Amino acid sequence: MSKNWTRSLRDRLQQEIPMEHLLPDTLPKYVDSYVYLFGVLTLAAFVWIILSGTILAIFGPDWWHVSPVGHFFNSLHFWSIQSFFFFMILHLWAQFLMAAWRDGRHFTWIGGWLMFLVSILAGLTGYLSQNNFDAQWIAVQGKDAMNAAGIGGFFNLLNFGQMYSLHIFVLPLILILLLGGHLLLIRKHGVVEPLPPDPKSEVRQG
Amino acid sequence: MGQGLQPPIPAGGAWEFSWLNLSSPDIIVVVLMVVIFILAIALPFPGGKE
Repeated sequence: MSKNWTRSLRDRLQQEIPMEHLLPDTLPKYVDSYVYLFGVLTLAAFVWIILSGTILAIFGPDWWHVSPVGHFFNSLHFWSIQSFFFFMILHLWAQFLMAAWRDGRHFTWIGGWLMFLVSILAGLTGYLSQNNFDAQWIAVQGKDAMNAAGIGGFFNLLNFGQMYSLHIFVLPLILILLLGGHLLLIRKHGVVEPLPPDPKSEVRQG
Repeated sequence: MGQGLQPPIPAGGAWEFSWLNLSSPDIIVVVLMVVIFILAIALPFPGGKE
């Protein structure tokens, strides 16, 4: 058979992430713990952030500051973000304590950190996109830090258009791409096995 | 007068050291995270199906 981009991509995918790994119907016994739910809770919060944020973007600041329904979706967006960061930190603790970067899972770990950092940036641009006095205050205070870091020239906190575009398009796009890679890597490698028992504690028991 | 209404609006009483400055909402969230994390480890997971 002659070479062909579609076929080589298909062969590569079948080799890297076979369907049994991509959509498994069983999980190892050690996954029977609430600790393994923090990741998917973060993902669920992210879905709510995107949904409520899309509605906020359609109707705009006049609506989310004045209309009662706008207030509701503003609050929904706010609390989704609170639970997003809450569960992301718990997910981070869990993965740190089980050393989840073992056995070739280093890029899953690094990707998680990248998403954490991008999320903080998304949080900052979100605060700046509120269109209220708080947003103005944060922009005026924060611009000095950006100028001191030497990036004020192309990352201008006082420029609402720039901050809003970053917040509703660029940063979510980066997050969704990183998240897709994160989930594919998890499905490729499977859930990390529990840490081996500490040999010292075995000696003490014996 | 009206000092509390000028941004940054204080979040509440603060637990303050030179190296740490946590408001009461901060403390509530951090304690809640620790409690939920411990419960997630300690509580038995229902199910156990094949």
